[in-house]
Amino acid sequence: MSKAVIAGVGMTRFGRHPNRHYTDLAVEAIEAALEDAGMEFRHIQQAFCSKVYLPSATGARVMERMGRTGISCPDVEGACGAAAAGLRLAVNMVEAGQCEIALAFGVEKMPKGFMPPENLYEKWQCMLGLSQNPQYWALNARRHMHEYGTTEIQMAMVAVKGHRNGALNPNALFQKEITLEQVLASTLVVDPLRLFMLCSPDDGAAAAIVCSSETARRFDCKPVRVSACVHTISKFPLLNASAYCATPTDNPTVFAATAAQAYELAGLGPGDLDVAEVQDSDAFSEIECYEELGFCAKGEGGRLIEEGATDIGGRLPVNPSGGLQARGEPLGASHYGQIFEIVQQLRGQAGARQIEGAKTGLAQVYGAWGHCGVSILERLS
Amino acid sequence: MSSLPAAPGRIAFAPDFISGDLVHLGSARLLGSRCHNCGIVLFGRRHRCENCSSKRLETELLSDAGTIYTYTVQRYPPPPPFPASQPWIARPVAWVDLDARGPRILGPVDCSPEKARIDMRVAVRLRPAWEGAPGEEVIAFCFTPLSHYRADLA
Repeated sequence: MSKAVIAGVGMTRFGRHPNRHYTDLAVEAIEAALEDAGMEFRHIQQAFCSKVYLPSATGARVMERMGRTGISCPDVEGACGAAAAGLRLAVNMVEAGQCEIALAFGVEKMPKGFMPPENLYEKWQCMLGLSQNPQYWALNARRHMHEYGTTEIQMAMVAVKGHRNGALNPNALFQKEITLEQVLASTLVVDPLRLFMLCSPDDGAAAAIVCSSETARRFDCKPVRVSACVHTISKFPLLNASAYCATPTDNPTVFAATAAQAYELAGLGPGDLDVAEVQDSDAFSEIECYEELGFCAKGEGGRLIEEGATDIGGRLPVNPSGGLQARGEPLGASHYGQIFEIVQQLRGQAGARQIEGAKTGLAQVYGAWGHCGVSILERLS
Repeated sequence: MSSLPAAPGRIAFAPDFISGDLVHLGSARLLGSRCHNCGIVLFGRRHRCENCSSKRLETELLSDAGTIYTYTVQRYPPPPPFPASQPWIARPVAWVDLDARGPRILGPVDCSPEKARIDMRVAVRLRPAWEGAPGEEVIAFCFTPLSHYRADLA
């Protein structure tokens, strides 16, 4: 079975689009992906629409705008991991020969501030006030500081890097650099996390067109191989948002477990990566990702950012797009935004953010109730 | 029909998490499930083990004391429908390892933010936390520093 490829990608700017309908955002991303792939919408035989907060039949409503060609387009929901779940379905269908060309896209419109909790938590969790997503990241951060000596400054450095990269990304919500002092002086929200360490929910859409490498040859496109696309739900205990019981076990974290499956499918390891986009919902989570995805040993994540290893130009650049720190997070589109960046990097089209000679990239998302996705893309030789 | 107002009703914050008399809270305890297959203890009465999927679970009363594994401080009120106090008073929230090989559970800590720390000993306290139906008290849990704990507050 040959691996699927991504023939085209497109995205809107992730940001604030108060006057645009969500179908309009999806259409912009899909049209850009079609143009990038050299394809027409009538070539698409299957579509998957990832979304979390948008209403029922979001995908079908996008078909109303793109043309009712009679294809299937269910919504795929999976919290912040929704897009990874959708991409996996598209990849699997293409690799199984059930369709030649699939469209995988995501779209969201989110108000700023804490996410409306009733979609992500049980009512009693909301009523107890245990419904503030960043509180979970803060709890992990505090323990990590206690066990490994990770510092507030190291976390702030992640935010500084994110905004520095975002300043080079026309698709980012925040395109302005911030200083370490500004991060450390920003409002404390949930100790030890400060306002400038937290990603902001926002609006946006992104899309990828998936087909076989043979099919891609019929079009004027620059395909990138999908070496792995894995989506899993966490084993016990959950690492993060929505958990209320987390008795320790010997299980690997869902980051490590999902990445292990992806590395095995791709036949490579973290040492083979040239670039990564990870779920930096907050500055600490990126440090956690370094460790759990195998970029460094457990407890060494703080030092990795400090050494500049994950800067553009470093040993393994992480979140060259600016990550969620700079792009914000339109939940359903988030992983496709990461895929967009990795595809640009592998094609050498990332402009000022370009990582020289990038051949292999990883994208990872994580969301409420344990949704985790890891995709590995490779430049076709 | 009685002319006297009915005594306020009390319900638990969710089914399957509290055992005992909700009127006399001193006798009520949090409930857990011990798995006879993998040995883990989970918060609440469960259908299957969340860790290993076994059905060999036994419900047990959880310890009413534990140790803070990690904590944070909510400096801003959690979003609605949480009935936040006005003005909001910053409060710690912690993962607590309950004694007697109990589960690690998440809850608010009833102390000043400055006091909270890792390894602090806390007691589980059941108390009316919000209003359910009109006149109905919903009983939920929080943690209090063990040195402050007085059973009669329940």
